[in-house]
Amino acid sequence: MGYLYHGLLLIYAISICKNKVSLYKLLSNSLSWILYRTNMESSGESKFDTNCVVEANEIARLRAAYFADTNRNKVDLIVGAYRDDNGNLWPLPVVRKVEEEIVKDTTQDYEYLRALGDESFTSAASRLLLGGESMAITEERVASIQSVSGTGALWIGAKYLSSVLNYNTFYMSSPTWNNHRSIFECSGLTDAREYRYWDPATRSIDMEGLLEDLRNAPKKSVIILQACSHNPTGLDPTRHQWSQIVDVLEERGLLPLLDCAYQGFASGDIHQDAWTVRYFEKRGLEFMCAQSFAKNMGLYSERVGCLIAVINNKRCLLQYLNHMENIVRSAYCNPPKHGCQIVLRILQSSEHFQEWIENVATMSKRVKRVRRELQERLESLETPGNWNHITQQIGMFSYTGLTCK
Amino acid sequence: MIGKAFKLSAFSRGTFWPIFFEIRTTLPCFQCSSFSSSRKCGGNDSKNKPERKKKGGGSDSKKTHSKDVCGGGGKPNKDKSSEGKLKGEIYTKGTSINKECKKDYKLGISEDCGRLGSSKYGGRKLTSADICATVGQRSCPGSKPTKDDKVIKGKKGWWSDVEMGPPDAILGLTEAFNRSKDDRKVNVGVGAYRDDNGEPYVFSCIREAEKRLLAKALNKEYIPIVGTVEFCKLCVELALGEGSPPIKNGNYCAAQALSGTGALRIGAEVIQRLSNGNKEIFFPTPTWGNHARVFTHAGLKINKYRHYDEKTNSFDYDGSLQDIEKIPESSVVLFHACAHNPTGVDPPQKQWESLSKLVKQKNLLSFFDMAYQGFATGDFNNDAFAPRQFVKDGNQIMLAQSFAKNLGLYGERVGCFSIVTSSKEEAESLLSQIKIIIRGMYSSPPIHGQRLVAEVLKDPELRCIWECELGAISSRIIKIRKDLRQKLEALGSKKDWKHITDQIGMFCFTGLTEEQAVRLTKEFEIYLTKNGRISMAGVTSKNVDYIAKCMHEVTK
Repeated sequence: MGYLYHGLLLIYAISICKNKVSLYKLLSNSLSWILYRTNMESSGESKFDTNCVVEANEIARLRAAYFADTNRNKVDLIVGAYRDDNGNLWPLPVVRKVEEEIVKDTTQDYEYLRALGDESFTSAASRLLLGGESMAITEERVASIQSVSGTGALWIGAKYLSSVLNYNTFYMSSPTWNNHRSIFECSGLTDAREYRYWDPATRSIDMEGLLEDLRNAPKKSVIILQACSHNPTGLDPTRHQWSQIVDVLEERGLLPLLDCAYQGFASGDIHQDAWTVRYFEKRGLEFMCAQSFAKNMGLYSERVGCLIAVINNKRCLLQYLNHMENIVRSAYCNPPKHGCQIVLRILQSSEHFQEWIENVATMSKRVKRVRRELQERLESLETPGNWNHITQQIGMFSYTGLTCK
Repeated sequence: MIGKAFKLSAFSRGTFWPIFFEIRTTLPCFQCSSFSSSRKCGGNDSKNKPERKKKGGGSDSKKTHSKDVCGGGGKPNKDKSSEGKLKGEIYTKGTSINKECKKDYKLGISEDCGRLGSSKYGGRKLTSADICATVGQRSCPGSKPTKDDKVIKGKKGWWSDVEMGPPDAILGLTEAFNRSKDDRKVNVGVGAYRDDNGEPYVFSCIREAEKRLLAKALNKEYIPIVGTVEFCKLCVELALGEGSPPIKNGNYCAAQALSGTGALRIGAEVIQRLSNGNKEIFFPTPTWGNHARVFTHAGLKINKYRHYDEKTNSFDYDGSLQDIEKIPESSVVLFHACAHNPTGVDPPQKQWESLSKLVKQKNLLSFFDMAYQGFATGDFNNDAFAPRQFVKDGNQIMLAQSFAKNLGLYGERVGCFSIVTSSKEEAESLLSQIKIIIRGMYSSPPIHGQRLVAEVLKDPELRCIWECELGAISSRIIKIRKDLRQKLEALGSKKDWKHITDQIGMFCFTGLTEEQAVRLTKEFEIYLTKNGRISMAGVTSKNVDYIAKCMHEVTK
C-alpha cells in the first residue's frame, strides 16, 4: 500500500513538474527512497522481531489516562511526587537558591566524578543517615557509593549480591513498591519471595506472619525492608516490632537491605525517620541501605542517591568497594554530578541545611494535615468502615482499603 | 508481567553455591576466629565453649591483642536513649573466649566468631568501646588478617570470602598522577579535554544554557523512563541527519542513557534479552578498555577483529575485511564511528563504504559507539559519516551517543541509545522493552545534562557558538599533533612519527611499547596508559617540548 500511495503521488508530482531540473531531482529522490525501503525490507526477518509490545505498568497507564482525561475535576492520586496545596509541583526553595549559587560559581566544572561518586557527598549522605554519632562511621566500617537515586542504589546493590556474593533469593514485603521485584530479577536474583506485611482484615502489619516468613527464609536470603514511610501501605513497624524483626534477622543470619526513600519526609524529623537504620547499626548488624534524595529534597529527576553498606571488616570493605567500582564501570562509569552538588551544598552549609529541614517539615506537615482532614471528612460523611488507618499510616502513600472495584 | 516480557533464560545466570557457604557459616570457631571447618584449633569442642561472664572492667577496646582472641571489652554504655527500653535490644551474647586475657569478653566474639546482640544470652549493653581490634592468630587456620585489619567486632560477615577485584587501568593512573608531588608531572592518560593551560574547559554555550535554564525555573519532576521525546529526537537528528529516512519514517527508537557507557549497556542488555541473533559481540583490536566489561557484565560473549596495523600505524583494512568475513551471521560488530579510541585511526570514507556493504551482506548487527561527533574534525556531518552510510545501505544499526566530550558534559552523564528498526511497529515494541530494562536499572535518567544538551541543540545561536568552540578545540588538537611530531623529528628521532598527525581525535597511539610507557611514567612523570596511548588533550604548548624530549629519550 505504501508503494501504491507513493507511486500515485509520484505520477501527480511529475505531471506538475515545471522543468527538467525539478523533474530530475524528483526522480532521483524517489529512486533513493525506493532503494532505501528495498534495502530495509530485503532482509525479511529482523533480529528484534519480538511480536510483542509490553504493556506499560499500572502507574504509567493510569498517568496516561489522567493526562488524556479532559474532565476539569480530575484528581491525580497516583504518582509519588509531592504537590503543594494547589496541586502544583513544589520545588524546594533551598534547592533553587543552591542552583543559583552553582550557576554563579565560575569554578564549577563538569569533570567526571569517581566511579563511586563524590567523596564529600557520600560522606555527608551517610552521616545524614547514620547520624553524627555513628560508631560505624567513626570506626570506618561504612562504605558509601553515590548512585542514580534510590533505584540505582538498589540496582548496583542487587548486582553485587547476585554476581559477587551469589545470592539468588530475595524477600519483599507483601505488598511492596512495584519496582523492587524488577530491579532484583533484572540483576540476576531469580528466587523472588514475599513476607507477609499488610493484613487487610485489620489494616495493620501482620507481625506474626512476617516473623514466621523470615524464620522460614533460607539462610542466604536478602530481605528488603523499608526504613520508613512504607510504600505503598504507609504502615511502618513500631520500634518494638523492629526489634523483633532484627532478632529474627540475626538468628537466621539473613542480609537486610533497607530502602530509605523518605528520610525527613515521613515524620518531618530526619532523625526520627532514620531511627530504623541507626537501630540496625547499633544492633551490630551488617546491612545495606539504599538512600534517595528524590522526595526529601524534591530532586526527583536529578537522580541522586547513595548505597550505604555497614561492613564489620575493613579488608572486606575495601574488597566490596573494589567490586562495586567494577560494577559501576560496567554500567555507566560514574554517577551524574549536578544533583549531588545540590545535596552536598545543602548538607555542608548550616544555613541551607536549616532551611532544608524547614522545607521538609512543611511537606510533611501538609501530608499529615490532609490525612487528618480526609479522615474527618469521611467520618462526617458517615462513610462505612473504620478510617483510622489513614492517620495511623505515614508518609506519602495510604493504603485506603478500597477494593479494586 | 516480567515473565511475559523476558525470556526465562535471562534470569538463569550466576552460580549458586549455598552448600559450601552454609558449611562455613555454621561452624564458627569460638577460640580463634577461624571459620575453618577442619577445626584444627579445636575451637568448637565442648570444653572450649565460651563461658558467660558478668560484666567486668573494661579496657581500651581498640588496643590490638597480638596473641589473644579478643571478644571485646569496655565500659557499660550510659546511653539513655529510648532504644534501651526495648527487650533485648542491644544486649550481647556473653562469651569468654580466652581465659588468659583479662579483658572483659562479654561482648560478642572477635572477628569471625559467633554472633552479637541476641537477647537470649542476656549480657550487658553494647558500648562504644566494645571493639575487638584484632583476631587471634594461634595455630588455627582460617583468615589471618594483617595488622591493618582492624576488625571491629562480630561475626564473619557476608563479605568475608570476597576476593579483590581487578583495578581500573585508567583511573588508577589518574590516582597515581594526583598522588605525585613532582612538578614535572603530566597527565596524558584520561580522556577529558584540557585547554592550552591544562585546565578543564567548560563550553561557553553550556554556561549560557545554564543561565537560561535557571531563568526558566523549571521543575524537577520525573521525566519519562526513556527521557523526553524532544531530547531523543534531537540526538538522533544530530547523529543521522535531519532528513534521514528512519527519522522521517519513524522506524527508529531512542532512549536517553547515562552517557555513552550507559547507552552501550542498554544496547548490551537489549541484545542479551531480546535479540534472536548470535549473542556475541566483536570488538576492533584494540578498543576502549571498558567495552569488554560492559558487554561481559550484560552476559554477551566477546570476540575481536583486526583494526590497527602496528607495522604501519594505520587502519588494517584487509585484516578487518578478512576477519569480518569470518564472523558468524547475525553476530554483533562494534565500530567506533570516529576518532577511534585508543588508536585515533579511522578508516577513510571509501573503506567505510566497503565495510558497510560487507556487514549488510553478512547480516551482522552493527553497534556504533559515537563518543566524539564534532570533536574529531569539528564537523558533525563528517564525523557521523560511518553510521549514516551504514543506515543508507540498509543496515539496522544500534548507536550509542555521548555528549561527554563534544559538549564537555563529562560528569552529567548525558547520552542517547538508539536503534534503527525495520518498521515503526517494531520500534514501538522495542521501546516498550527498553523501558522495562531501564526501569529495572535506575528508573529514569538524570534531567540536568539532557536539558543543557537540548537547550544547545535547539537554539540556533547556542548551536552556532558550540560549532565554533568545537572547531577551535579540534584545531588545537590538530595543531598540537603537528607540534609534537615536529619536535620529535627536530630532536633527531629515527622513528617514524607520521602517525601522530595521521591519527585523529583525542587519542594518539604512539607506538611505544609497554616498557617504554612505564619508563615514561616512572622516570619522567608522564602518565599514560601502558598500551602507549596518550590523550592529545593533555598535551599543551607548555609541555609539548618536555613530552617530545622524554618520548625521544625512551625510544632512541
